[in-house]
Amino acid sequence: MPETDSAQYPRIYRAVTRKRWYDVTSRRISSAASALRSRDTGLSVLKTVGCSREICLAGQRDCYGEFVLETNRVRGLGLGVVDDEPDAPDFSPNHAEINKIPINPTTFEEKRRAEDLASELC
Amino acid sequence: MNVNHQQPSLGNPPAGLERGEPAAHENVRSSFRGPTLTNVLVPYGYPNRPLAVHTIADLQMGAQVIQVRPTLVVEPPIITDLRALREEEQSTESPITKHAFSMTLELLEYANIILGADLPRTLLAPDGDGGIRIEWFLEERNLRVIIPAESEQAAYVYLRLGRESDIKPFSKSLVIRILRSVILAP
Repeated sequence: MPETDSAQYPRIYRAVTRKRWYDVTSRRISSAASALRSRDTGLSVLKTVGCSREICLAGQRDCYGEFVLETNRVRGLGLGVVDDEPDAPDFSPNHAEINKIPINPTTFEEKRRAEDLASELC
Repeated sequence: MNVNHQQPSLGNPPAGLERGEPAAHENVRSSFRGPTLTNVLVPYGYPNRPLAVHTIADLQMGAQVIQVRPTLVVEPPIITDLRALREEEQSTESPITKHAFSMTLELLEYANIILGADLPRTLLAPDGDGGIRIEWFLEERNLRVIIPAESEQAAYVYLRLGRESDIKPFSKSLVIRILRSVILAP
């Protein structure tokens, strides 16, 4: 998959699809926001945002906002930020993915790495 | 005047009476209930004899009816929050599983009993696979309990202190020990 251009997109945005990902009272972000589900290959992000109440660019039924990430800082963690494959059936020019996060980690070392990354991304 | 009556055996009810709707059965599941005033049958000799009276026959055998004083049992807010999380996730593609819910409930009830009002603010979040993430924060300290959706998957505890981290298999006592030593008493 092609690398996302960090000069053009210095920031990427993670849609907040669960209201419990952000605790308003303590102003803390749950690690759940940066943890992969078993069926994920990477963390879905948007390259630009400008959502309104009527239009959700992330295509979500429920969306509560977005977390802002610095593209180069994400790469500095040893992670990749890549665009969708242009010929993929679900291609979106505004969609990118943070990859190289351990997928379905089994060992404690892999789980720890995944949790460390979730901490760094929060 | 309200008339409560049972369904007559004949199709034609007595003149002037209308058939009412049967009362709904209450399905009591929660162990936490509001205040109640209950008449309870107790055996003769209570409280020196075991409380095991359940039927009218017991009453005929010498049991007495006593009135039990109501007690107010309030569900801890964190348990209410857990139930709310399950409701919120009910309509998603991966609802909270029974395993994840009961394991989390067991941990939170245990923590609530041991720590009571000292239990720090607890963040509950769905993991998107039917499991639950439980988290506590204090400045740069973060304790995470990852409860998976199914029993075949192992629950674990992740602790982060600044840039350092550690991960261990889940146990309730470990969570309490870390809460006490890292989050409550820095």
